[in-house]
Amino acid sequence: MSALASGPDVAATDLLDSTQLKGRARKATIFRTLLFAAVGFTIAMLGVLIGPR
Amino acid sequence: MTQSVVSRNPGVNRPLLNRARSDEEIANQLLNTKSAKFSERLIGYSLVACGLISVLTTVGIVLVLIEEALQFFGDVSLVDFLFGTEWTALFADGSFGVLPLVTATVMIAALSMVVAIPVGLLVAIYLSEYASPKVRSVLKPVMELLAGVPTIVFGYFALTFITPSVLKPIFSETQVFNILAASIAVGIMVIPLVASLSEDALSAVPRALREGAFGMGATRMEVSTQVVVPAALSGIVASIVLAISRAFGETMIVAIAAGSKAQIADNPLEPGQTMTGFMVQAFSGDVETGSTVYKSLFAVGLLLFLITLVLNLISNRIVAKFREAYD
Repeated sequence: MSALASGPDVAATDLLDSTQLKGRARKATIFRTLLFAAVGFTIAMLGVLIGPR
Repeated sequence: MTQSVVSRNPGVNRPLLNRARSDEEIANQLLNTKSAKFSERLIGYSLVACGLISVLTTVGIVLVLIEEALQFFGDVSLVDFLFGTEWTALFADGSFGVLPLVTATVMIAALSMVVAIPVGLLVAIYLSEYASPKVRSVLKPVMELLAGVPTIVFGYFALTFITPSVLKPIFSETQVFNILAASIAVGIMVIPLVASLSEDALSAVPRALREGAFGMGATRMEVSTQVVVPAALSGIVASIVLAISRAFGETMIVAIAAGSKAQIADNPLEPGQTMTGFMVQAFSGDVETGSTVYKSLFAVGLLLFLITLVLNLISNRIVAKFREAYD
């Protein structure tokens, strides 16, 4: 507790910087899209392989 | 031992203990009978025999490869074989420089990994960290279905779909048989291998590590990429090296889609012949037993075996180096 109290003088607004949070959220969204794309690619390849031509 | 347990625990259930003791005596009596000893020994010998069969088969294969390869190196020098840049083994006065076959094999393995590693890893992360149990129970069997498709189907897939419908519209100079289509097909074939093995490694990471990272305010992506993946690195690397070995040894896809023109592979849009591709071509022809071409098959096979062996040894060292042990 005392360590927190004597820690660096950082305002809560700086810690919760909205631009930084938005950046992290955007990265997470892009990553999730990539994951879905990879799974979609694999399923699509399977579909093309064993599906009707 | 049991007496001291009873004396230290006055509340112990004595009838139950007596019964357990009598059960133990009966089991000991049964194990000490002649027939029991015999069957135990028989099971032991059977298991040793099963182990020996696989070991002796491997030793036999290696011995045959070495014997025939040594005969080949009586006809062609080792330096000409390893560093020659012309492979015309099936011609009347053929050259046996293996570099064209090796470069095509390495190029196909490398390009296939460009497809397999990112897609396989992303699928593994999705299955392990993002998918709900219900989605995982559907997706995993579907992935395994892809792993069960015969490789010859992938070969025709490369020849009849990847080359005309994907590569030709992008690169007009693409030839009918080309290394790139074969590489993409091999890459797609090994995606389930990378995904499945990596997913096992990711799932084995203790839950406490994830919870600690979530507790620090990390997003799911940060937990996946900065905590779980580094912790499972040894398993992931092992899966990748296994996939590379699989790509090196792949036969049917490259035999069908990459063509049979043995030349130093410098353009993936042109045909090339891999080591396994040459073996298929030679064995499906009328190669005379005992001829230099026949013996060259074993020399190429031995080289392929050594490359795969080195890859497996590297894999073992990497796994040992990055192994993280958790309680």
